[in-house]
Amino acid sequence: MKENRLLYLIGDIDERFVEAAEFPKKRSVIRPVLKYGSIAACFCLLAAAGFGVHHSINTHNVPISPSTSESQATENSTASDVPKQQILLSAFASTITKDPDSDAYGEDELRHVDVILHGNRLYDQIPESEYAFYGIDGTLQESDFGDSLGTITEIGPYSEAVLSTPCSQEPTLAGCEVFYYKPVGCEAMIIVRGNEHCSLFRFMYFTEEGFSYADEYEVFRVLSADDIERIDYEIRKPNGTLIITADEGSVTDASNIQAFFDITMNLNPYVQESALSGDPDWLNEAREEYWQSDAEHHVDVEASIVLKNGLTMALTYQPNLGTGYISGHYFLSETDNAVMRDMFGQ
Amino acid sequence: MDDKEIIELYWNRSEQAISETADKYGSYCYYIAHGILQDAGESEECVNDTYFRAWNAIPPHRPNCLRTFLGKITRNLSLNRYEKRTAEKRGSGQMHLCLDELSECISDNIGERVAEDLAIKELLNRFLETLPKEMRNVFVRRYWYMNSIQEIAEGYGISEGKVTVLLFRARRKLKDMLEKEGIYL
Repeated sequence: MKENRLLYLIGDIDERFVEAAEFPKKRSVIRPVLKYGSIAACFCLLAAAGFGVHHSINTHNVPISPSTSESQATENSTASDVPKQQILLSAFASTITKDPDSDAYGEDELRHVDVILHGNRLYDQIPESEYAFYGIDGTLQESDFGDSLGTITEIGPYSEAVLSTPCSQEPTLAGCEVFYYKPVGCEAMIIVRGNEHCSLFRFMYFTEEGFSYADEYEVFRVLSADDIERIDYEIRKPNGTLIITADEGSVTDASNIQAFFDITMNLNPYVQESALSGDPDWLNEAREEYWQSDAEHHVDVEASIVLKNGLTMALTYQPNLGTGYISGHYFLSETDNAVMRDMFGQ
Repeated sequence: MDDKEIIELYWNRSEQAISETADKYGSYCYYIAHGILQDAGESEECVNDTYFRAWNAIPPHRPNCLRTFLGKITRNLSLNRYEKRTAEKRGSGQMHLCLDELSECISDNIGERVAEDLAIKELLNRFLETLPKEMRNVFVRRYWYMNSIQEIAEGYGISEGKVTVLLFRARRKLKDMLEKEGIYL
């Protein structure tokens, strides 16, 4: 059987790939990548590394670590007071399991432990293994609880989410209270508490189309170019059959960061006519032309936007697709593309 | 005991090599076997057979990475065992799901059978090199370790949706690459 043969042959892949695929240990610090954008954009983003979020928290925002909680306790109260304020984090388990024989490729058919706010912002539960990355030791303080967002209503498909109340497909979240997670100072992280659990969730993407970078910046409270610390980037190019990192660097110049912010703030998202229609014709035609051009033109710029509030966002920019393409949006103007090319040495 | 010392025990034909291997890598091998077979007894047998195979292979072999070396043996033994009992136990384990998913990577045009296994293995390695790290790791977890989607999602702390999309894209790339190289299995 041909599948059998392939499965056996995969068994002989280079052992370094097998070793590299080890799951991170629970205490290790990993950099979670959160994809976001509209649903349509999200699929594009997965192909092109897209616009996502790396999330880290500035030291002064870190809510608790063994050393900081102790020093804070010394400053503000007695050490013995601290444990009384702590709330143990306990992740919600998914109680809906998929039929393993069903089509597992349709995103809509999957059930996650996630929450939708304002009818269209999807937040995924942060696994315990990533707490260390967020500077969290498995507990919260009462002071970490920001504004209340209401209680969760259970829904079926994402399309049933409503503006007025938090929603989730996971039944065990129904009735739980939702709060913004205060230490990050924005709306990118929330706390869900109730039904004997308390857990943190992070913004992933908008479940509807038509949201722009301006909307995404708003979630992360990026109000101006001054909120951006720097832009780290990698230039990815084909080298024979391999895609390699040809160059990397950082944009730290204030005028360039301002230009980057202005350009991304003014991007126009496109909207598909229907979920099944795929990308618009103008984009598909441009892609045809792009892939027929010389391989040396196939350049991806993978940028990480490091914010001053400790959060990190990321996007992929393809300077030679159309007049410059960022997933989910209309092509850049030739002027803006020239600015971006210059910024990333392309 | 580190791997070099265990390998030396094998080379010295010391039976302590087996107990040291079992202590250090028994659970790892069992994890792989159970992922495929979903049966405790059969998994145990595969793990024991792994030690026997390793005993026969070392020497003359001197593995660079003992862990992966053992894992590969367990994986192959488990696949063989699974094949033998597929008829009566179809529906358990991850293997049939993996097979179904991989079938889409292979062209229906089976008129030509041109690829040697060596060439395909080389292509698989090149294919994995081209994948972004995250997609590559998810692919390896699914089709080497044969973890379930849920296990992979939990292991990497990502959503199941993301895992399935990454796998879908990886399979499509593999299919394209196989066809581009004129390989029809």
